[in-house]
Amino acid sequence: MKTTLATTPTGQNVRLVEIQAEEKLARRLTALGITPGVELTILQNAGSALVLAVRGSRIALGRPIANDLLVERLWFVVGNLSPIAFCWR
Amino acid sequence: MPMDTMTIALAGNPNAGKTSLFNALTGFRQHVGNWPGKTVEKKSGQVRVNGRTLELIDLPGTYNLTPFSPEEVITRSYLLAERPDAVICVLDAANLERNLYLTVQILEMGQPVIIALNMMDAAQARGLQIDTQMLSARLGVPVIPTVASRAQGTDGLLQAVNRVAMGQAFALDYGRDLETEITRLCQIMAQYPAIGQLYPARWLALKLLEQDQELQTALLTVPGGPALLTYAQLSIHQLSQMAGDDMDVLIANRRYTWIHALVQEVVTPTRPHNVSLSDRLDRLVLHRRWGIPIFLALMWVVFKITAESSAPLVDWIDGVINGPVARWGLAGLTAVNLQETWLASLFVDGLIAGVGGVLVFIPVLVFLYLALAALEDSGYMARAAFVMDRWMSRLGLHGKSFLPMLVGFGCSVPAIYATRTLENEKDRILTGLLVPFMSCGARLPVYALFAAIFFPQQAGLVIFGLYLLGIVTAVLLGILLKHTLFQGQEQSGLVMELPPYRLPSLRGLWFHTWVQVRAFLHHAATLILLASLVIWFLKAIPAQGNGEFADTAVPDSLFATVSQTLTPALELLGFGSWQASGALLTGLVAKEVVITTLAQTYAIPDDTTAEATPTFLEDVLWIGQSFVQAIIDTLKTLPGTLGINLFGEESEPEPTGLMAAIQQEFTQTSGGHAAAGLAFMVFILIYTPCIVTISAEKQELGTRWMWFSIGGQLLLAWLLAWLVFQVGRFLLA
Ligand SMILES: Nc1nc2c(ncn2[C@@H]2O[C@H](COP(=O)(O)OP(=O)(O)OP(=O)(O)O)[C@@H](O)[C@H]2O)c(=O)[nH]1
Ligand SMILES: [Mg+2]
Repeated sequence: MKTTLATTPTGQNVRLVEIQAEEKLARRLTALGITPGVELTILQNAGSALVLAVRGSRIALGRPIANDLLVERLWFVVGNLSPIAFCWR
Repeated sequence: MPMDTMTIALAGNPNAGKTSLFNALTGFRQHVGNWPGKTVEKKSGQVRVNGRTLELIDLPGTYNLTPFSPEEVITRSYLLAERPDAVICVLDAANLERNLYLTVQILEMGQPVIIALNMMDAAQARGLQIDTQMLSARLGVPVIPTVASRAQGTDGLLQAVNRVAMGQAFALDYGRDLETEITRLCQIMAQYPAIGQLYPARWLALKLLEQDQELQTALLTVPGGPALLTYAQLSIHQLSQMAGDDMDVLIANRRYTWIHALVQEVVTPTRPHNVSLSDRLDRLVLHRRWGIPIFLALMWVVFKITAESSAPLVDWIDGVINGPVARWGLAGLTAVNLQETWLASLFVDGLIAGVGGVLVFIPVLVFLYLALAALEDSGYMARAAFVMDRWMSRLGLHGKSFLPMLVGFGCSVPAIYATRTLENEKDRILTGLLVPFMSCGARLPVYALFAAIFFPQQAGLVIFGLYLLGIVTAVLLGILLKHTLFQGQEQSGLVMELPPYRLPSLRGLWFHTWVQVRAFLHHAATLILLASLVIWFLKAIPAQGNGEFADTAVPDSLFATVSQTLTPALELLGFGSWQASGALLTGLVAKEVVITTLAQTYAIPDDTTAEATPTFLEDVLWIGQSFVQAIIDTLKTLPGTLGINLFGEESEPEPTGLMAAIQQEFTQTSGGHAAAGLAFMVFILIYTPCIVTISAEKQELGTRWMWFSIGGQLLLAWLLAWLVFQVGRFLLA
């Protein structure tokens, strides 16, 4: 199922299918490792920007940019991300 | 390759630890901190190894070598044009895959490379085992593990530099389709030696396929260049028909594929990858609803600590300077028989009051810089920028623009230079115009003084309020500018790396604070000293009445006469006295000078003469004792900053001579309204910070915007101070 990154919920793993952004922006994204085919985890999707984990680093992306990234959801999700759950472990 | 001097560049991703390594190698103290984009200009330093001088160049961090944002341009043109003898690629070992992307491109340029595999401690803590020998073998260059923040591995690095050889041909496999085109372009280049002299063939072929505009333009003037460009266009056409992707995306993808395979080979995770503590913390800190309250709460703690915990130490320094130091100085003057001359007056009214009045606030600045350093080293800065993205996007800016603004809480000058990390020109100018509204460290002493005079019970709250007012003013003004001068600006979205949280080290905090305090001391010993002397002379020169030099009533002096001309403009603000206008006028030089001027103009009668003069030894003892007491008092205030009051109500300290004098004057000019004090602080907050900021604005924004900024700040300062005074008169009555 193809959607944009902007509509992907927190905790979901996705594979990047296509970058539809203009060239300059696309270059900035690919330099950060956001290349077609890579697996991303959405760590935060709320408010005006998202946070993703990609190739071991954490990148904040503005929502308009996330709208330009086509992704395909992978079937598994990351475990509980709650900070409180961490404290209780 | 025996040479007497070698030039060695430090290159790498933002936040990889280049400046830390540079500092460790050279003993310099350039700015480091845990957020991407601190170094915006290349800095050089020297170190001698085995009788050879190494000239080290610390470059701004970049992710890529395309010529887009200014720091990428600096790095790229440096590597291309200056051709350093070697490049130390600084890599974050805990984030190897992304870091290797730039390294591979530098290797492709054919530069002699040494890899500093930095942050080995962080990689270890994350359970990553890295086979450095394998990495070295696969890339064909030396790989030296380092921990730059603790200066580990620097010897090995310097040895490797000594042995560095000319760059071996490095080539990664881009896949059959791409390799065919690369080979073809290289063959064409072989026919034009002029091109080969300028650029490494394979690298150029890749860049042409990536459609690098700067190189395309440069090639137009090289013999054979236009022909080569035509062939490159053909190749691109052919490839994009086959692959269907944009060429630059395709090339980046292949590069990353190769790197990914390499990292799989080299790095062994010793425990399963898990969601890290950093990520969990971020769930809370970056929370949609909680993010901004957390940011405000942190700011609140910072300013409450700076305002309240420093007070006992401020009193201590005040006591030392006005007591023993003044006495010793006068005793020295008496010893050479100058006690009744104008030189004595210059010393007491000019130096002790002027420079001493500013030095008194060192503890305030120490606390401020400590707190800002903690925010910076912990990794919170980038988070604050993320949280503020929502507000900033209303200005047509994005969260990254908030980074320079946060820097502005320390000092406006580096903050204006920090706008260089923004990708687009209009963002840079708009952010540069808003940065001065972030209240800098130099303005804090003025607030501390005035809040203590007019709002002794709520000093922390008032100061916090001023900082907030600065932010809100910037945001509102930004919205206004966006809808007028910056209309129709394209929105460039937020793309920012969030570095992992780190516990700030005591050494790092001290390092930051000391560098800043030292800069402040230097400032006090030069600019503020000079300003003090100039003000003293202006005050000593009679302009009316029948005084003589150094023996004129202050209101008759040249200084008062000139300042007097401005007072009508300030009457509506509640502080229409020549003292206040004189302070604001000289405050254009630097905000500390406001205090210098006030301290000098309200020539405070000396009340220490009444007591028996203590001996030198007694003085020294008293200094030590009162210092210990001040430290204890400071520690006692700390629980209070978190809203806990353990020690009962503090009795209010007696206002000092200066404070009483200011209060009296303001009571007169405002008709007894504390709002005038608030209006004065607001004016200080908004109008032009200092001449150094003006020159930074001129350099970064251009002369037109500089004047726009100065004029706008004055106008806005007047309007806001007027509003505060007129409204405050009724509310605070
Ligand atoms: N744990 C650990 N931290 C390090 C190491 N080296 C640097 N740091 C920290 O990493 C952060 C970034 O270091 P800098 O030297 O400022 O990085 P930089 O590469 O110059 O960054 P930019 O100038 O922004 O491109 C700082 O907080 C350093 O204290 C290291 O080896 N281990
Ligand atoms: Mg740096």
